[in-house]
Amino acid sequence: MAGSTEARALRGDDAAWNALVQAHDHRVVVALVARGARPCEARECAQEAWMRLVQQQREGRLAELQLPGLAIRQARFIWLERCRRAGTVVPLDGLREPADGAGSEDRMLDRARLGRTLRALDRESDRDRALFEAAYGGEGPSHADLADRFGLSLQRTRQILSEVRQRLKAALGDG
Amino acid sequence: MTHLTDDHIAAWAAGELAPAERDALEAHADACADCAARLSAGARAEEAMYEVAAASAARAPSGTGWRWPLAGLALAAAALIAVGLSQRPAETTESHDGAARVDVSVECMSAPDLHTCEADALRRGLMTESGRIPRYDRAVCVGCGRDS
Repeated sequence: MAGSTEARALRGDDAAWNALVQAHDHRVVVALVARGARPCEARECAQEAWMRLVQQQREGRLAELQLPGLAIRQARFIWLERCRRAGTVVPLDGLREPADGAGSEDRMLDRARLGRTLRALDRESDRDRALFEAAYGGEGPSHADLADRFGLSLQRTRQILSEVRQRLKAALGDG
Repeated sequence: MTHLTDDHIAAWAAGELAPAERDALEAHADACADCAARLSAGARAEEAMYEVAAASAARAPSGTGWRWPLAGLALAAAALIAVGLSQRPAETTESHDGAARVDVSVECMSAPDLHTCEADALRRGLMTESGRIPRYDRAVCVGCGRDS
């Protein structure tokens, strides 16, 4: 579904672009806030990122569209540029390389914390782990899609995800 | 708006707030340094969830019941190999203790379908359960000789 929406967006379908923005915009904002942007800055940068992507598509300069990653990278570039122009010190928390240097600059977790959290995930039931992986993997399906896929009610889907998240975040040490 | 609670922050990070609620929360965080810091921490934790999910999905040998299809694929591949070897007799080798080890791929030849092949592999100890993880492990067969 998301793949076909992205394909339509690449062909210049405005409705497809709107659907993609609606599906991924908040994730882009959260990614920027995670790196130290204020929410209002993050919203502005996300909006500008989408506009640039649409512009690039219209100019035929967008060969592929992998979301939300591309929008996050674009928005972060815009935010860093803003910080640079304004002479703002970029908070290091969200930009620091992982301690083991093994990952990209986008990584939030060092190896130890990742391992700890994976072990916590392994303690979840098969279904809950699969639900978590589906919710946080790939194209970012909606909770309604996940509920359909797993044969759960929407409320139960949200409850399970919330509980799993809570346990994993406790394992992270972030609350 | 009062200061943000952990529940507010978690719901915002997960994208579960209604637009009006979300806007109010963000407006508060824009004006309140403490809440902005907590919101940022919540956002980092949420971003970390994506890394955890990706790392979990990428762990090839570590599967779940949901990865049974992968085990099935492995067996299907073994069955295909077996078809390629169909003119050869079943291959056996000697393990360290002299017990016969049967080549898995050849044994799959006799199964009429993948399901039977899987069931047979499980029964014979060729498909093992490591915790909740089904794993196709030929090494287990060395010297097993349960019923072969």
